[in-house]
Amino acid sequence: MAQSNYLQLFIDEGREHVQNMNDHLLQLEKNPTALPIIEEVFRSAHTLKGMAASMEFQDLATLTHAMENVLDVLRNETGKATSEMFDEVFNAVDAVEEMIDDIAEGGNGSRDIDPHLAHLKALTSEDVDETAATVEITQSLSYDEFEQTVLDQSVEQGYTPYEITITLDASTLLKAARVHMAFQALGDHGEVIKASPPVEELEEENFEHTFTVAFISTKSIEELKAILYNVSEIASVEIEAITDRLMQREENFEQEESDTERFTGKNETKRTIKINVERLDTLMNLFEEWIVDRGRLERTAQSLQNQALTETVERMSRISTDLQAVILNMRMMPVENVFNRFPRMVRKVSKDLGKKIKMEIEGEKTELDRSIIDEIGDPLVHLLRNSIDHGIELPEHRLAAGKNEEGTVRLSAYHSDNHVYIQVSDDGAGIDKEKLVNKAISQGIIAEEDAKTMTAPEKYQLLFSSGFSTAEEITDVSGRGVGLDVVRQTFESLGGVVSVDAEPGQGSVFSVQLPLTLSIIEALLVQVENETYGIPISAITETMIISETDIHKTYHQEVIEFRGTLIPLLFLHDVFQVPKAVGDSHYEPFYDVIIVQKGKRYTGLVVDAFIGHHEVVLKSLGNFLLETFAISGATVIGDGEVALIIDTNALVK
Amino acid sequence: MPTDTAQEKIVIFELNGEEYGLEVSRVQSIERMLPLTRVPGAPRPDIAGVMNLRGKITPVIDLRLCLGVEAAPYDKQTRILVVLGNDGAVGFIVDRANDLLDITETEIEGIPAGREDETYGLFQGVINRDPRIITLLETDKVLQ
Repeated sequence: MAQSNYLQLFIDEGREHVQNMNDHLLQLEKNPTALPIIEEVFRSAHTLKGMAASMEFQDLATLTHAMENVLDVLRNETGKATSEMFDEVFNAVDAVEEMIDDIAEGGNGSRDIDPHLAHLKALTSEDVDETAATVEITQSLSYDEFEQTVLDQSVEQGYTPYEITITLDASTLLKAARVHMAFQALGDHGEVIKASPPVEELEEENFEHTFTVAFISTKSIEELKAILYNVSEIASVEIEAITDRLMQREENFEQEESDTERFTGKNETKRTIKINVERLDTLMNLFEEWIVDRGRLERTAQSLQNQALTETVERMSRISTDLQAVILNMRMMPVENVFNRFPRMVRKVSKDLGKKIKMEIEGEKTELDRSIIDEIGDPLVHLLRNSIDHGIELPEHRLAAGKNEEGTVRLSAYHSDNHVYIQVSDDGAGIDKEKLVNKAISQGIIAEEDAKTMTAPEKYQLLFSSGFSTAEEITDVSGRGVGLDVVRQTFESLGGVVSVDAEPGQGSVFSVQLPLTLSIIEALLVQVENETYGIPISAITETMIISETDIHKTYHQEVIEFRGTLIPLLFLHDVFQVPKAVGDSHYEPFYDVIIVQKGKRYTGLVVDAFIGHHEVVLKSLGNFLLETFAISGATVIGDGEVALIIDTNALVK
Repeated sequence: MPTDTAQEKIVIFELNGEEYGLEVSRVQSIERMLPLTRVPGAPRPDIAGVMNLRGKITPVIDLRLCLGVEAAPYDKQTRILVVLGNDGAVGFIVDRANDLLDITETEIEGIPAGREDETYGLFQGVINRDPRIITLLETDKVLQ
């Protein structure tokens, strides 16, 4: 329904404005006299107020109005900003966010805002208005040079320029929809040259009930009135022919710009549209089916050996590769969508813990598939909290260690090969790996003799073992029993790999490697007896053919030598209990082996044959088969059959 | 809640010569046998595999195995009922499916004594249309 569309728009944009206020308030706190930043926060509060008022979320409108007042004082008397003031405004932003969340969950966003109002009021000299004031619109329009020219020319061509002021019913719910209908009705009979408030503002329902458009048409005033009164919920229409006024342009020229224009004037709007995520997913699904059929077509063309057909299919394949890039690109979002919410959290957590922390963010424009972005927020919060809680020392300890009392937590993202890397690093106390090993031994996670042969990275990796906890005491921030192993599992479920490196006294670095996109992957298709499996190329270190004599046995485990060490060998026939194919039983003293990697560990997987490299669409097996061991999904291969995709992470011990 | 006189359409299918039924409203489609891909280590032993149902990977349950009926090879009559569950569509392999029936709620009788093995909870009851006896499946239980 249209109503819910507008609601969704309100929620999405509301959240963007909350984010914008958070970002700029944080900047402002560092640089309290910067007028452009104040303007930016003000603009968001102002827009939110207008949106809330038009959607009739009264408490939200009142609260944002009070915030606006505080910001207005700041704007006029820069330098008055205090830390206390920031706390209050931040709290109010939090309240706004909660109200929007409430609205998103079907509530009406009402809550007790009196404490906030009282605090905000105390920060301003003027009284806080209890009801939200909305933007006043100046009624007569002013035109810039270009618009003047258009109007002049239209007169020459026999059109009449009008200014039409339309007032909607006070009870109109979907104001933007009515505006749209009015514009459409007008569009059939002439051309809209200008609107006040500007069209974007009208679309955001950022106006009371009245708006004015400059319109050229060959119709008469009466005809236009009849057309407009046909649109429901239009209360009144006033039309004035402005042919005469155009003649005296100079007088109007310098007319002050309306309030609304002042706020939107700076926003250079990019030509973008918002697309419902579901539609993108549908597009993706359709494209996936296309890829499957493309494979089938390629094979058919190959067997028919018709030159015209082959050429057409080749061209189609190239186009669909481009198409794929475009579609995948559409699904990409910059990681700043997740990163944005962290500075506030870091500010709060470090205040709670009495630590001084500077947060740096790098590479926030790095893009990742939307489905991955949706999942990485929580584990990253965990890593950041971990760095603040366990990494960064208290200010006095830092000073005693000869460091700057302010610690730095850096969150960075970058793109390399076919992966995106996200790092959380800090210049804190680092990690004592021997202490880790001792903890792991005492918690029964590793045996004492294992510890002797462990490399440094392996020791650090212990942090991610399930059931492992180093927290000396339970703090409010982390160490609540949910450990880094959950972080590791979440990233691994996305096809990611987590690792950690540290230098005692210098700090630690947590790195996450993520695939760019989840749904289309390069896979090596392999045959095991009569079954076909796919192994993601990203997991494969190399493929090799070994002779029977290369296989050794230790501890009842087949091993081979690989890059100077012995690595275990797994026969997929055994792992997946593949039924023996009938007939084909000739003996070969060679094995096809795929070396897969997880962190620094390798395992060789034995298969019957390599079928080849394919771009496949990874599909979920669904909740029903979610817990299937070592299978991460499935794909439809060229002949329409389903091949399972192996989760090699589960196979590397 | 349906009233006592509520009408319902059921799909009749056969397993080992016996007739069973489930609500038409839960059936998305009835398919001829499709190629199955075995899923090693599937969480249930009665999962015959997954199939490609018009581009969607769909798990398939062999209803014979599920209901404790002796396994049998698939033939030309074998059908897959695609049933909508909470976790998406699931296929049920049955011997044949070739009838629809209108029933009323009041017709449903309890399961006769003597059938109280571990599959007991998988049935809603029986419909007695002498000489036909149709056992009604409790679809959500089968999918649990």
